[in-house]
Amino acid sequence: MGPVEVTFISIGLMVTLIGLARGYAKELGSTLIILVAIFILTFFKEPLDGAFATLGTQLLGLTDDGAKALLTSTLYSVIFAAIVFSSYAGRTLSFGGTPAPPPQGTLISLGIGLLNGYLIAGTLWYYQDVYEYPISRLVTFDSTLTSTAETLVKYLPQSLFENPVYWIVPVAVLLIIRVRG
Amino acid sequence: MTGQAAIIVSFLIYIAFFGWLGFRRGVRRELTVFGVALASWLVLQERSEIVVTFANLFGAAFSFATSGGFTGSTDDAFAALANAPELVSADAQTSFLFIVWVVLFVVTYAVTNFAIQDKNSPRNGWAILFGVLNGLFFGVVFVPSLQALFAPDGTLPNLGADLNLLELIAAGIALLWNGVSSVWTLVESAGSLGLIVILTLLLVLAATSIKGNAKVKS
Repeated sequence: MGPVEVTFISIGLMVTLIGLARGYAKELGSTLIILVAIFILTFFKEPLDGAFATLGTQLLGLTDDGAKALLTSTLYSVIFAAIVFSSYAGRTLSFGGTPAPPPQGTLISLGIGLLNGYLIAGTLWYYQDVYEYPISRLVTFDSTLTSTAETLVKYLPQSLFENPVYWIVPVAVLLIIRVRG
Repeated sequence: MTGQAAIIVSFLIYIAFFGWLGFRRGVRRELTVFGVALASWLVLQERSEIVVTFANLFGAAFSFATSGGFTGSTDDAFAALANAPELVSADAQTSFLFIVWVVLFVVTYAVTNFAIQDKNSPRNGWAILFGVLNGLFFGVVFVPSLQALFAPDGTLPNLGADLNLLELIAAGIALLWNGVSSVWTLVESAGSLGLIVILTLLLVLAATSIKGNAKVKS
């Protein structure tokens, strides 16, 4: 496995391409859901950490701190991935109407796709970084971060704001626009 | 910092002006100008010897005609033809080709104004984009020559030698990136509030660009 930032930047770029293909009218709905997911998982981090620790100790009999960190990180990632998947699959929340024609529409789709890519890849990276990369227990992984990775980690979504309530501001505004039309 | 801000603002005004001009002229006119500029530049680069040969032949024909080739003594005319200097010498080839390209570019720009009707040249985002690209072509064409007017020692630029649109676009992007980085530093100093305001504004701009949003039935 190469530098960790390559993996997560690749994930971000794939999400960006999906956003470009879907168009920004649909992507804005996904952005809304992703922001809500980030808010919920960050706002309730302490109780969730406690619940996952109890799950690991009581139900699975885990004693090793590394194993508990792997379980917690995996559960967060799976929950987040499930919420993101639900925003992309089946009946999705979208902003109805006629999006702007190309090239401006394409540029907006690229921008929103990049934002969603950053939010998704950044969140998955955060739940590895904050638990000191428990994935290294499963795959060969060099835990020494490059200088680029160390810089990027400071700008992950969960590290951006000191209070997760800030994420609700764009959610509220988007909901108002969605409802009012 | 202030100097760079002035350069960035000037560059933004320059491309905004040509974007607006492109929008006014419409996509077909701008695309025609862009296509002619690009194609003629490629042809002049790859087949420059043909153009220069034609120019020299024209010069020779002119010497022949003015030396009585059609009306007077043919011997004198052929002698004048043999002794006539090349219209385009080897040293002047680059400048000559550059001038040919500039003339083609400007003439196409003028001709498309009346040769293509308004109704056949829709005004949309593509017109703005090609207007900006044509503006950058104008920059590549005229800035080196105009710069000589302001050069303190009056040195003349080597016209056409550094005709590099890609370099100009890369320099423009680098300049804009520096501007964005400076703005980002300002936003960071405002803390979380600045970041969330910027993010919310961008999302609102994207959402409000969707025309005829469906209203939820009450």
